[in-house]
Amino acid sequence: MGCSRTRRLATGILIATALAAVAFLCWLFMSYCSGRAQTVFAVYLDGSGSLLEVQQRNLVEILSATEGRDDCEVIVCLDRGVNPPAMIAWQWAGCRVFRCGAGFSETLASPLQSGVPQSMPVDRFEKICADADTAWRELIQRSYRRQQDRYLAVAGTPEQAIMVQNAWRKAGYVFMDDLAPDAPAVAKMRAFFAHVRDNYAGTRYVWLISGHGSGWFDAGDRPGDRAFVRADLPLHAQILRDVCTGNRPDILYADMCYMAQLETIYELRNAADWLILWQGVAPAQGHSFAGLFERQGLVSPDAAVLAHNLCDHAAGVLKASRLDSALVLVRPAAGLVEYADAFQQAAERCDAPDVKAALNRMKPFETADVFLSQHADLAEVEQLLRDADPGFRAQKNFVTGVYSNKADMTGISVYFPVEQLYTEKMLTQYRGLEFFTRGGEKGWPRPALERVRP
Amino acid sequence: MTKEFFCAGVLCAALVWSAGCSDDAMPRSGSSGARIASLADDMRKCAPDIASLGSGFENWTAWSGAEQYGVIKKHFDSTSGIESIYATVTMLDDTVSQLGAILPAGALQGESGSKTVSGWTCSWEAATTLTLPSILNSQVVNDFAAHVNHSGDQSGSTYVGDLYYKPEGDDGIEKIYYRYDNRSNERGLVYAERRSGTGQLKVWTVCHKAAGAMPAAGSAHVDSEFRCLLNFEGNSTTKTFKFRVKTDAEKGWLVFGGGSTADDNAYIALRGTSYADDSVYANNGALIKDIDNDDNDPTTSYVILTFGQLKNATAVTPKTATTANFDTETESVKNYIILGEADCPFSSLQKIQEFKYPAEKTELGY
Repeated sequence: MGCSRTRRLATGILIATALAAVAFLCWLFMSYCSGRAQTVFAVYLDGSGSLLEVQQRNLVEILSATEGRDDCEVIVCLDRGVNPPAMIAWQWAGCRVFRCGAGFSETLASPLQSGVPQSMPVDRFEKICADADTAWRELIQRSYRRQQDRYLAVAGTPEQAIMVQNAWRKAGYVFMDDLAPDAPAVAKMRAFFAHVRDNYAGTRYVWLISGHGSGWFDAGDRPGDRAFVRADLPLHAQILRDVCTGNRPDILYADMCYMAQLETIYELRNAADWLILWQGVAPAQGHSFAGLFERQGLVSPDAAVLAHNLCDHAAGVLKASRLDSALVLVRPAAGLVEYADAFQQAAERCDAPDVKAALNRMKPFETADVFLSQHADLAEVEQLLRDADPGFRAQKNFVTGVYSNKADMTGISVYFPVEQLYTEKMLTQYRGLEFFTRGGEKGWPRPALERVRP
Repeated sequence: MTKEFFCAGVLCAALVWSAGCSDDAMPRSGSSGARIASLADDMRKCAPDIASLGSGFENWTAWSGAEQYGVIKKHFDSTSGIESIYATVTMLDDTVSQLGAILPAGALQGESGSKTVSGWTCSWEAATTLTLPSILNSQVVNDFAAHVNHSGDQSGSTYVGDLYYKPEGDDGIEKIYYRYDNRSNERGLVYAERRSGTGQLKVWTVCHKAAGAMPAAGSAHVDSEFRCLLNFEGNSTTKTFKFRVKTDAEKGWLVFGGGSTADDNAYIALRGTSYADDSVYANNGALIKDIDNDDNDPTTSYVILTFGQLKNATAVTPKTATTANFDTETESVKNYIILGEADCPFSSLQKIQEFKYPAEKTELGY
């Protein structure tokens, strides 16, 4: 009897222990899934041009999709431009920033105010301080304490906070609230992404920019697309590069048309670990944010998994749109520079008459769109060069995902002018690209450019 | 063994409870707020939206191709402005999303309440029978569930809007009616019926944008004014659509037709004229002909093109809408532009002439 009781007791303890272990493992797994490793999404919605209503709807969609979520941080900036119509919820000009998660009314009624950065990465903190005058630097340094890889603001009185914020201004820090509604978009985006980086600690960062786009082509030539343009940075490629300089996300998703050219990707090679870009047009109705934030894998600690999941979702949007376009996921570190070198060298060497003849026969994209019609798919041009030059061995390993609705779009385009009218005009801009100017004036592809010259 | 199983059962229950708690802590999406699915997005599932395709139509040598938008881009570009088939429904979508940001879900289910946000006043209640305005033939709708009124200052005038809504319900028909007046120079409305089960969508939009009364027939057209009547029918399952629009642009702007966007080889047929009326603002469709009672009308012209051609702005030469030309067309899509055919939005010349944009604001109610 005693032995049987003891055995039953031991069995019970064993079962209980096993179940407890399973429970503990489940708890660990759920803790992991529920956002201990937190992703920070910063979404810039450019509604300053013809996309105002679309972006307003996007904001509502994001607020809906993120209500109650605690597994990621979502900060949104809606730019309504200079003189937008005022309607119920939309009462402001310029930018407003929202921290999502609390629901519609609560979030819209409580836009974030610029204030003292609460949690700044060490490298950013120390760089700004190093460049600041002594008095401001000392005031800033006194107001923060270091905790691991970030500086955290020390709580103080409201008067002290104002003094510290002014010190940051004197040190060159730009706050969102300091910018006028007609401030250049690049300034707004820099201030917005800085706000996100310097207030929300995360294990990875995603910058998502939604608006008109046209790669390295002067957006001023496209009616309604001027929203992002600044006189000294006329190209979207340059603007995005500038926005990410000194504040580099893990993933940069440009929900903008015509951003996946080799030249633009080269310009953005240091902008982020992962780039998600449209080769052709992006769906006019914007991204499906509701779907995006419901994707599995958003809380993955692996940026690659996250990037692929975001891209998979965008691909679904592309498929549903029925647009002739393609979406590409790029990891620049995986040999982009090496490939660009090899590509340009092959282009330089391809003076063989048969290659020139083939280039002359080749057609860019058949479309009435001025921009796209000056481009060819990279894969086709590359194949021509490979056929002519066995020394061209570099592979496009930096392309890690392609989703296409159109057979002749394989993810990345390259400048391939067809009309002299545009060639002369676009060459001026082309020469402003790092792709063109690096290591001297190499450019690409000289034979292709020459074929349309007088 | 009872105790052991009891013990294990408790632990299992704790495990299940733990999982349940985690789900509660991480909802996939919000549940509050008044929501109506986007009408514009459903229209896009049926008809083209070439907003993303940039220019390109300037290469057309006809149908105003050389102008900024041209006929096709004007109507099928959701960002081309007030003459787009998407314009008013996009405005409705935006307004509903704003209301959704403010109102509780019950506001669209017949509950009562009110709220003031940023100087805008919203009130909601159960709807009663509504007679639509005369421009929609004074149709009586007696199954709206909710009525939401909102008003506020917009650019110095008092904007007022009324949303009536009937959820899908047992009959499978969702109804949306929205009308607005900016108390300055613009009044407009949208009436839509949607069957998500079959993918069918019917939309009427009406706009009257003019400060004063209708000018006398033949008066010079004022560019900042705009009067429009649009009827759209689509099926998001079969990806087909047909539409008709009449505006006061030029000397009576009339365009109608339809087709399929199922794939790039699907056909679309469009027919129209900018001289439908015998004088500016006459609004009588008197110049549309039906010679020999055989839909032989040299006043109007038409194009038949594929969805792929439309997306690429491939130039297509319009043809005169004569019987002889229709006879040469081999694609059945031509039935969208031949009066009296089942697919055509107009059954006869008389129906065209009865299809009028609102001459006066009062035709839109209020």
